[in-house]
Amino acid sequence: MKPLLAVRDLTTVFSLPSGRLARPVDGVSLDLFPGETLALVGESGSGKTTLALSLLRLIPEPPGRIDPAGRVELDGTDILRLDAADLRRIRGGAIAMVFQEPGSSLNPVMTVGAQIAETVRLHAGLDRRAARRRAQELLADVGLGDADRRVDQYPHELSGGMQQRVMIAMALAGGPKVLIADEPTTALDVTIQLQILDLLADLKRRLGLAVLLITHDLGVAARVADRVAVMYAGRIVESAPSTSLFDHPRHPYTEALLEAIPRVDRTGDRLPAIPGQPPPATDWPTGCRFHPRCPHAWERCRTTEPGLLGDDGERVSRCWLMDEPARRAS
Amino acid sequence: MTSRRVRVGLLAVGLLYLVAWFAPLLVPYDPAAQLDLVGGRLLPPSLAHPLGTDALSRDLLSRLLFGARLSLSIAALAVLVAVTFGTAVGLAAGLASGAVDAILMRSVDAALAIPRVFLLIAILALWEQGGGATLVLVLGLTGWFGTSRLVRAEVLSLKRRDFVLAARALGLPGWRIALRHVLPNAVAPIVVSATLGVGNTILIEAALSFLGIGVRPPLPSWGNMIADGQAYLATSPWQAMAPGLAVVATVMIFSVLGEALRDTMDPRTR
Repeated sequence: MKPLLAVRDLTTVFSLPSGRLARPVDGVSLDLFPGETLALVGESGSGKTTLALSLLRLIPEPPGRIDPAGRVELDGTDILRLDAADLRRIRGGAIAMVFQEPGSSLNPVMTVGAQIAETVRLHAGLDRRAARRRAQELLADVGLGDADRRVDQYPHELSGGMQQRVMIAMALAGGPKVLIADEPTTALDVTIQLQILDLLADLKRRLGLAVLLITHDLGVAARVADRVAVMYAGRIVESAPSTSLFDHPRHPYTEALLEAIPRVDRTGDRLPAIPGQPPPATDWPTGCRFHPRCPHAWERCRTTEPGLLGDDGERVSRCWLMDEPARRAS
Repeated sequence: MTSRRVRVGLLAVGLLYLVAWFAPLLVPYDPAAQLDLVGGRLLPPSLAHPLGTDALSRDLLSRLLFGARLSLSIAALAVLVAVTFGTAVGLAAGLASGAVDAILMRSVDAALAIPRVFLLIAILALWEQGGGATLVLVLGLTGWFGTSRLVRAEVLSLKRRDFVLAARALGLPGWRIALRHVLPNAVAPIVVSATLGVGNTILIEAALSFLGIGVRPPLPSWGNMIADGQAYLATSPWQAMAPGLAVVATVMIFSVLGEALRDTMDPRTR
């Protein structure tokens, strides 16, 4: 099957005031297939949000810059090479985005209906009245009860969960094929998180959306993702179908992340933590970027970085253990 | 949004403008009429002339109300010009950033370095033929620097807000984001500075008219009434004091309203 969104060697560079360069996204490649949910997981600073923003060229330029050697192809069109007008058509059109903080992502002085209608008019070319009707339909679509009344309310009159539904309705206004959701549930209460995740899963099924879900929460990824890609220090370090990744992680970093999840059936012991700190984006370690924190690291890891290794191409891990499993420290 | 101080302030400003608007119906005499040059000069306040008459036997109350009409409308229109201009420049500078921003803001800094009153005196002294429209224009075009800096600062912080990023992610064009998402969120400080600006402009207009280069006789303005009255401070002090008090009271009303609006609308000082 052909991927809907194909990212190749995407590198985003920021020039810092100190004159140093940071590469929060460094040579990332990934595929998003029609109708699937790909979860991109990683801790803070791993580059996942920068990656999401880079896909739509939303990073501030300057100080940021996307390396022109990379490609972001949607149905064969390279987004990195579009002119401004075509780029605007893609944004909110074929690719829409939902952000982390629904409260601050909505304009406080516009009614939610007006904000949705604005996007509808832009991408669907409807007149004012038709756009308002469409806004009501969209609000009903995302499960916001009482849509007739809600359209005329301001964001502060809605709860966080309702605000996130409004954001999703805005994202759907342009009839997207790809939905990028950047930590869509992080700012919400746990019960609301589940509702929003279920809504995303439901929309994916009903509308055939491809969803790129960015999260630091493995539980969220496990609940909705078909495939999971793990990001560390600006790179994808492991990618696999959801079940096999959670049952048989191949990269020591993924293993450590899974170990560090608190579990009710394991009491008493201290929660295992990953030693050390994630490296800064100005100064990625040589060799494998995880080697300073890896219990299995040996000489080869310090000098040479592994590629994404794997027998079948569907389950890949950026780790020399794939090559030399006997080196695993017990 | 509607604290008691704001309501009181709005009521007072509303009353001021009502009085100014309906001055022709309220005044007992024609403000320019010299009523009785023989026996009616410099009369003290009486029932016939509540504020007395001036040296040319004109009714002071009538002149005061007509002066209010001129002073208040000149100030309001000048501030309208200033705020429109300042907002446009501030919005452009804040959104463009880089070289455009640097050029605009350094020019504003340079303009701010020249004391406004000197600038006004120089322009108005050269442009003697100008009437009220000139005064509005000159006051407006020398009064927008502060507003532009204020709006720019507001825009710089607003454009980093998530909803602007979200609007860009939805493909909205830049001008639309500027006018529909950034500008409406900057209205509160603009309204506050405009309100304070009206009071300030009334004061400056009075000063210019006092010097004889603002509103020119025979048109009455508070400034030139004070100038006319100062010769008689020892014998009939109300000549200068009535318009003086009017200026003070009006400026205070605008200050109080401006401060009250700031306290209720601007979250940073709340």
